[in-house]
Amino acid sequence: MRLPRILIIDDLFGRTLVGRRNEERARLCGQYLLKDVTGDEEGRSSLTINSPVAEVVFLRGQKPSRSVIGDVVENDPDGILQTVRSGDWSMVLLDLCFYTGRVTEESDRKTAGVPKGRDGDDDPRRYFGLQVLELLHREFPDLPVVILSSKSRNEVSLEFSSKGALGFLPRGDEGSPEALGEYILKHGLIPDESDEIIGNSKPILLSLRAARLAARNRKNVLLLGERGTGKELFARYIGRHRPVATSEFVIVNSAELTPELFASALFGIEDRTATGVKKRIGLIEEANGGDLFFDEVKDMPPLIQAAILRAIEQREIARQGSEDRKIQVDVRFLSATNADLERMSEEGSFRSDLLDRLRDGGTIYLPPLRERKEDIPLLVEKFVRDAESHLAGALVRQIEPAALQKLCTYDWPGNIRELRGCVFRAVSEYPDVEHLVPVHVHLPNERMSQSSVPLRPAIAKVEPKRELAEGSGDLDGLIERIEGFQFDPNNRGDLVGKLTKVRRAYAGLLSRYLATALSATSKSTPDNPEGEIQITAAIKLMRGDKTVTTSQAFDEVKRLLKESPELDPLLERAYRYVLSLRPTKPKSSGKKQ
Amino acid sequence: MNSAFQKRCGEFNHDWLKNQYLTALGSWLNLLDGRISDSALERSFVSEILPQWEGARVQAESLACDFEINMSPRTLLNTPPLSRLDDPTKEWLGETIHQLWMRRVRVSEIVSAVLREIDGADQAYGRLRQALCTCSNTESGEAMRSLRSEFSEFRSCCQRVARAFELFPGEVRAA
Repeated sequence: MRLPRILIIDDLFGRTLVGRRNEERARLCGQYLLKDVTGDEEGRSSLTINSPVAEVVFLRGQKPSRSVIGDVVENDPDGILQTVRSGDWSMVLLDLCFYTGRVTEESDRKTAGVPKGRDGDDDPRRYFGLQVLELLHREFPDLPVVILSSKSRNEVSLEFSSKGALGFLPRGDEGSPEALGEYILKHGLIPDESDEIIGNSKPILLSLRAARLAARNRKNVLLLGERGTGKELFARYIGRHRPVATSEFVIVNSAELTPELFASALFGIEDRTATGVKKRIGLIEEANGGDLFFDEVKDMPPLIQAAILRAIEQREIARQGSEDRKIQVDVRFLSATNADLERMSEEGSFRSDLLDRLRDGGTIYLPPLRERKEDIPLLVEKFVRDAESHLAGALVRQIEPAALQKLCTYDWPGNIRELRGCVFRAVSEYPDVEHLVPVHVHLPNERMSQSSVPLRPAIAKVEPKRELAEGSGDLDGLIERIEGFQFDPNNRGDLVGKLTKVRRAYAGLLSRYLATALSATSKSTPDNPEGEIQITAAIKLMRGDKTVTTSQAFDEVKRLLKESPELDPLLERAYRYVLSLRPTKPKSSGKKQ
Repeated sequence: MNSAFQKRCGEFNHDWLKNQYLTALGSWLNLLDGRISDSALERSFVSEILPQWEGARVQAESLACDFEINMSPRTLLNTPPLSRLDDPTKEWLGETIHQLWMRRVRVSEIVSAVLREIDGADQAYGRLRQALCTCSNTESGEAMRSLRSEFSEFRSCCQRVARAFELFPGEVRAA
């Protein structure tokens, strides 16, 4: 696991000595179990840390960094900012008092290379560390900065808080690796140690930090993020960081429960001998002492919203059929959605009092992948290895930079899930290669453009088969967006003259859906090694129904392409073929089209 | 304001005790616990670093005893504009504000507390030195692991000394 990387800005521990090591620095590293990776010292260190808490780079914050008797030492705010800009720091530990002025024989004798100090250097109102803190907070507002000082906390508690420091570690006093580790865990920008949530970008590290902070108490947390951003993984991450370890983590997916089943699933059922109903423990009771993850919380029916509100407020529930017998529960609700619950509560479709209870421990925003593209290489590495291990016989491959570059050109509306699907397809389509190259990577926009290139008659330019399970996430998200789309009655202008466009878009979508299904089900034959279209197979795939007959499939193709504004060569060919064999009007599918 | 006294205080409590001695003690305890290995520290800790307390104790006591004279607001009468007062006025005014300060800041209590902590640390140091006499090899962390509690006790006492010094007001105040 990668260690947190810390920058310590300190005149004493950051200075470099001529011809020998900085012993004070070694002692500090030994005390806090820090692995010094500054690399500025001469000679070999005798210090070995067995289980370091963090990697640390020391910075004097003054010029020159290596001073001898006669040198004049001055503070160097520009150099500090430059160093902070140049690295990805999990945290900055900042000293308060920096001694400046000339290094005299006397001052050097006391502490090698340290100047005598000027009036005001140790005046709490003029500490250079506080000036640096202000500069850092202005330029890097998200960077966690903690004061590490031997000076009195009380002297500067207001100043360091108001200038943006997150805390104060007293140096030498109660300083321990555990205290530092606790600070890093609480405030540091550190990745998920279990590697379940992959990423080192600032947006994901900030979300992880927010999750760890939220996990420190038993209050309810709301997770907001687009589909595929890993809301369940985040909920589990919060569960892992709760102060008291419990194993209960129960998942409720509101979208999968019918309104009728909601109450019994959540609250359970008591034995009813008359009706033969057997006792069943509800999910809330199952999660007692732990966490209940409520996915797609926006889909919770109004009656259940009221019941959940009562359960949260009174910390008790009753099984169905035994309403008088209350059961005490201690459950933290971790709710997730990609919907605008604030807006839903304003519109009255989600109870605002419940919304407030569900986020009383904070709201955590999960960044979409397009806002953290620097994480794509790490994610791809993980997914490629996962795919190789899932696919028996797949060769271990090297990920070529050009492939990564191609993956970074796309915005990934389906986020991590979509990227994972794409990578899994790349590996399953090309199991016998040692390199992942751009040609293995099929981006959705590329598929669309491919479908419009001229194709030879009877032969489709066939994309290799895709794993349906992996690719289905994209379409689910699209359906979700279409179903959730709200027309705005107050914006009449937006409604004017769009009917044809909406029809064309819908028809185009259906035809692209068909084209993709045709490609996915095409078969290579000796005559057509690039693949031959299989209309019935394609419709079976689209309907998810293996009993579809050829005539039903042909009728479906006619219906699907009836309003399509223009057909690409593949669809043109399929349509002509269908008409030639079944020129009659299609039979109704049984549903209103 | 007596900057020379404050400077001495800072040099003792911050520059030496907290930044050097206590960090070395913390590092040493980690070495005894097997969390780090450091041959240079093993060689020098008992023979060079630990005995620094003996000189520091004298310095600490002297600082505690000098506190009342150096940080009393009476010292403000030595600098302008109050230094321009006539001598008899300076005498009664100085004594008055000194006595008021002594009561308000509870100087005697603070000084006693600091001296008590210094004494406590010194006694712990004595016990540690005595225990070290029984140790065959004082350049080996392994050999001194059995003395961990004595080292730990001494460190705690030194931490209390550092905290006691924080009780001293940081500047000379008239009111």
